[in-house]
Amino acid sequence: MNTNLEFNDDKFNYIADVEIEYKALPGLTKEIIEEISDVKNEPRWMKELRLKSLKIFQTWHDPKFGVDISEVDLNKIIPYIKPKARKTTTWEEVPEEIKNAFDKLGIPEAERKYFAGVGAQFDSEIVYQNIKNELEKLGVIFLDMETAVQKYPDLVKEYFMKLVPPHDHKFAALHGAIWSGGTFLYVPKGVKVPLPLQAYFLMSNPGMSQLEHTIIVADEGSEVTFIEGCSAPRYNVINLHTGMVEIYVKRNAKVKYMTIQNWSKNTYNLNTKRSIVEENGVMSWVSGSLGSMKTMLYPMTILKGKGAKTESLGITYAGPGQHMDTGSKVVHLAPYTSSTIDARSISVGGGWAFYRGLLKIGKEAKKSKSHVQCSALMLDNKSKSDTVPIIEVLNSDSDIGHEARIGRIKDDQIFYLMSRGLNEAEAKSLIVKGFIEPIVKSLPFEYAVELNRLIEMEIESSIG
Amino acid sequence: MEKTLELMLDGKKAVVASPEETFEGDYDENVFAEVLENVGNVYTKEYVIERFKEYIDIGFPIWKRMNVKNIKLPVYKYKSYFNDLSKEQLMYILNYDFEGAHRKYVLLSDIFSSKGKFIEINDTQKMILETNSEITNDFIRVTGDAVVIRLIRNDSFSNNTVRFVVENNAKLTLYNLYFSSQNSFGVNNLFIWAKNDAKVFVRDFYSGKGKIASYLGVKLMDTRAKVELKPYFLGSGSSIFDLLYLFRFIGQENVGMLKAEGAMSDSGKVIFRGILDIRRGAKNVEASESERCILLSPDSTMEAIPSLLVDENEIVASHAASSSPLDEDSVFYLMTRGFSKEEAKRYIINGIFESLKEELSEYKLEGLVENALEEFMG
Repeated sequence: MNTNLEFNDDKFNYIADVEIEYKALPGLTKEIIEEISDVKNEPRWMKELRLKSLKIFQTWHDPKFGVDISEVDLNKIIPYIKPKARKTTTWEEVPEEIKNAFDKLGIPEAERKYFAGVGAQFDSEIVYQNIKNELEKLGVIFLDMETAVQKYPDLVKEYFMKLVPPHDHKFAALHGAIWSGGTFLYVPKGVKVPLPLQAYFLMSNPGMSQLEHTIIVADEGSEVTFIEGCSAPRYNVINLHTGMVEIYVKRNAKVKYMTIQNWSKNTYNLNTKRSIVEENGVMSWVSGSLGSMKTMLYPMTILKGKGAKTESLGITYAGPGQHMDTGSKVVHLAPYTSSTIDARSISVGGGWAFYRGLLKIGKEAKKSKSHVQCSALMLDNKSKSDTVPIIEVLNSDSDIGHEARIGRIKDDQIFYLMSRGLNEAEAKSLIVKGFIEPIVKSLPFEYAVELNRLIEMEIESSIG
Repeated sequence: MEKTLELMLDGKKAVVASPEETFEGDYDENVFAEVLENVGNVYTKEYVIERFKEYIDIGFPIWKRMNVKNIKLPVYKYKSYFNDLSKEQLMYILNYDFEGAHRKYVLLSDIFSSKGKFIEINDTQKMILETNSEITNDFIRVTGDAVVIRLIRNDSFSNNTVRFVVENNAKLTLYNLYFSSQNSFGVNNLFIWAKNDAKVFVRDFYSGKGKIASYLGVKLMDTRAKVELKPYFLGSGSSIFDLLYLFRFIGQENVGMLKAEGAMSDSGKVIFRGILDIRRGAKNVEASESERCILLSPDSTMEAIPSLLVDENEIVASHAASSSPLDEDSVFYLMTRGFSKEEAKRYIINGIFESLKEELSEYKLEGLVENALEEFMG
């Protein structure tokens, strides 16, 4: 019987042969960055932000925690690749090879069926961005970041890298210098977007970096769900993904941000996601971190307004050769704020899942509540699972609870299921599916299908 | 040497932060020359020279959470036990070495201690070790049934290191009772190596208004050992207690339990780090950790970093941490039974330390905890 529970990502290993319009030289110099800015025809403030970020980057040290990134030679990374494709709102106009790559992931079909709008980024540029007419009429802005910079410069400037400034950490500075692509989403006051909006990111070239920048502004009383997916074919050289997401949840607004990350196993995924939530606003994160060789990702929520809330639900999968350092950060700054974190991980075949969390209850965050729960499933003895949450409480009037548990699939669970007619591999698969069920359930249909395709179907096929 | 953190898996490693260091306020080579003059035999001289080579390259850590700006080491007083150590005893110390809260402080005790003993306990024995604002260094090997009570009082600077080896089938019951005065800074580094079927029970009590950086590591090297650690803390004034507990599971079928609880008031701060480190091959171990803190005043704070580091899946490991204000329902209930609000609070806080007091009453030392509670409650 095959009891191999390792993840197989060959179905996503599709290489698109797309013509390149512009490719920056590897490395990071003032000249390269000025050139990228000129190619994008950016306003002066953006070029200055890039150059300032470069200066900050040159003075920053590597992170003093997390995965070992000593193998990443930024002088060999290609910072910017523009495919030969003009931005379009019509799927038919997207070049055939790029279309094939996205078709394989079901993007256009999904848009017709399940989404209010879709953006698709290929290498460093968005090649397709579309939103339903009725939402556009309500004032929803859903644009690729470059177009938003041109069309709404003041609005973008108000939010761009204000939540994660370039001096936040080394890779924030790198991002500020060479960001490209991403989405700008603005939801006006009181508008409730009925269907999710989606962005999908593909990296197709070896040795490249993708640094898309996403901004979501949910104005007072609005509601929106945003989904991002990421994948890339596997190469023998290192690819780097250093995206950034900034989310502004205004008073009484609700934002749900979902991610299914399936970067190829040659990718360093060093991503920053942060949100700030005003009075009675709600921020929900749902994430599946499945791909990449090494990941450092800790979506952060700052609960700034009274009664603000956040929920975070995540699954991290660490298979052979993977080192996944993921977690959640929540900072409570106002009274009556609340947070719940449910972090799960599966490690198998020598994979290393590391949960690193921060929960900080500020001095003014009286009567706040938080519950953090970490569960880890180790499927074999070659793997490793670590949990290191930091809990900091600065007032005497809040209720904080944390629990963590690490273990394997128990023999009696397998025995019970085998007594009901399943073989050992089926029993294990069923238990793994049960373990990830809360995450699968919280996703909209199309993404639940994709997560199932990534974990359920592939794990099942490899063990069954 | 037992490192505190080793995050590696088959060639992959994680980055571990190390604090910045300072050499300010350190003993100089003249003091070391004085140490050498007092060392009795050739073995110990070689040992001390080797330690000093390591010591001079390491600075004192600048622990941001402790906020200690200047280290004021005491004037060196030679009284240490090095003179009397045999070659065999030195080998023990070399074999049982550890990093501690910071290697600098372990080496500080190894070289510059003014008090310390090499103790072997073969039978049923109880002993009390007292220190007062000193640099001390002890090695205790237990082959029988030992009760060791350490009373550590500090009103300026103290640095205390102890290595315990609990041999096969031996039993150690250890009480570490810390009393810190305002403006004091004390470092405690303690490591316990527990062998086959060893039984270890540790009760720590941290109290007062000073700063304490305390480290207790346990290595369960063989099989079927049982180790139970119960730290209690009671901080007031501007106290900062930075407490690190490490369980390292190597052998099989061992049991390790860590349960910490306490209360902080005024602007007191407790940082609690519990690490359960389960290495590959440590099958069928049971490891658990919990921490509970009651914050009694608006300026008191707590930080908890409960870590599970697991390389073996045939285990049961869990941790939990909580922080809460004094339970209003409990206070209300007690008030309905005739207690005033203040009495009710006192009653609840006392309850946390009741079992510790009861255990210490066997040695007529419960008064030490009662006095600390009195001072704490005002």
